[in-house]
Amino acid sequence: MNPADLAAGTQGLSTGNFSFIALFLQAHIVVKLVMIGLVLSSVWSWAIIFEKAFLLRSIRRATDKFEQVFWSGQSLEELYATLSASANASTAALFVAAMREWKRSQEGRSSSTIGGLQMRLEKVMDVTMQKEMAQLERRLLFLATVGSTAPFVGLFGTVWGIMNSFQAIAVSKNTNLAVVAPGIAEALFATALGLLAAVPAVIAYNKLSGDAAQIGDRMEGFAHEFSAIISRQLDARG
Amino acid sequence: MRTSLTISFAMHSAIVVAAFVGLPAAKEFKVAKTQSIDVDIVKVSELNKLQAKSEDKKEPEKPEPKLKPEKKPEPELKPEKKKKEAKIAPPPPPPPPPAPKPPEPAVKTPPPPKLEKVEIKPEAKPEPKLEAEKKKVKPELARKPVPIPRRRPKIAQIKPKKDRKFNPNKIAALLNKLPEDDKSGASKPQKTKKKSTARKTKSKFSGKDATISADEKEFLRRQIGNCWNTPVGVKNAENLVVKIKIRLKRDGTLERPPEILSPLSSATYRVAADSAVRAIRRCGPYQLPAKKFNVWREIVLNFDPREMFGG
Repeated sequence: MNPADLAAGTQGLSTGNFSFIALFLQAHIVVKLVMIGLVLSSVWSWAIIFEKAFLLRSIRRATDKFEQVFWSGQSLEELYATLSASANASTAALFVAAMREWKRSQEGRSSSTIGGLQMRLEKVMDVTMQKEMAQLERRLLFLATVGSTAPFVGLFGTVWGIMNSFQAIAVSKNTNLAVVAPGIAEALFATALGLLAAVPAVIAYNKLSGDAAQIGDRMEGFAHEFSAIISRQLDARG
Repeated sequence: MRTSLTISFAMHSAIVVAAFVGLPAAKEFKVAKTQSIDVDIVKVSELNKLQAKSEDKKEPEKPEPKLKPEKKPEPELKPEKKKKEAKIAPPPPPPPPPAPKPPEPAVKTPPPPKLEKVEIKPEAKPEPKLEAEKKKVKPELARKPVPIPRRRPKIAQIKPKKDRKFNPNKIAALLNKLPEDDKSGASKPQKTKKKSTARKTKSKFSGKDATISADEKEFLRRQIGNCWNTPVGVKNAENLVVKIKIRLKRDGTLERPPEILSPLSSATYRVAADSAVRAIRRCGPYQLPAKKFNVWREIVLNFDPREMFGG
């Protein structure tokens, strides 16, 4: 390779622009793939963040509303009648599931013991709660994955780009900064993207999983209270 | 999920667009231009030239009025120079007063006489007077100083034209530098102090120290530079700095073939290195102070086209 040619090449490069797009276009194919992957994961994790944020907010609102109604002294039968028609989430779903089971055992009039009925109700509520929690925490793990791996992926792109830069030095036998700088700039761009994807993902993961755990706690508390109410009712009847 | 995905996608594309439009493209670092030229670019060869030049300039200032009538000897030199310089300095001016101008720029560096004329006119005028003066006193000595021996071999060589074709830019750059230095006065203290010594050591090697002085090294380099056909038509020739180690015998001849120290990285580099080796061989016995044989027995020379052109 002629140093003169190379110098001319770098000359041309240095006159070109170094905007983000240009940096991306000039990058090595591996670095490009890394960047594309990081951007896609960022898009997807933000989609998850939005989705979960909306979901959690609506669930919290629904739970508030339900609990308000539940503790207002309205008859449970009536409440069940209004709620069972529509789809429900979190505590409402727990209530509906428990009531359904209760009704079934009432209708069946099977020779069930009180203890058996109570146990069944608790089981049903447990299962429903697990389902609800699974739905809440679905895809949150992706955020955790992005948060922990994106920096490394970006770092990989950077290392690759810097490797290329050093190879360029070796080939051109020219330590001029103009030979090295473009490659390093591209390479560092990959790390920037990695961090850009990772930081919101980590923050959102912590926030969202905390919120989800809070809702889970609320559901659990409601389940306990409701089973206490039912057990009181059974005792009173028994 | 779809809505949030579209929201996310829209957000990302908005950020990308914002980054593309809003964020400024990388800016160049605006480094404040300092006058670093004075500090780091002056090399021994240039310094010598500077001194030679300033000496030429300075001395005649006082005797100016007296010497005016003594322009007669001038023509003697002129025809001699003109013969050699005929191609280089085509305007062979018949009237005595303007005549000295053309040869003088030619002495320093033939190619860009125009530049010289434009910029150094005021400075160049006194020079002929000095020459005239010197000639009057010691006609032979006056002609000896460095520039002339340099010029001769170049002309003797068969293809000075190529040299000239290749040089102009660099020489022009150098010449641009010199007047600036003169104007800034940075070199004035040097002029006064070193004027006498620098000149003498160049020809006589009167130094007593055990190391080879910059002047002597420069002298050797000039001897070689006269024989050196710099690689012509090579792109970026100024980057092709060749490092060569030579061992000399006491009589100034080569003890063994020159040794190229820098790695031969490319074909053009090889060409440059070969040309340097040829120059060393051709220039034969070198004149160096016999006293310091131990010092110059083994010398590493840097063949730098820029310097050679300038020198």
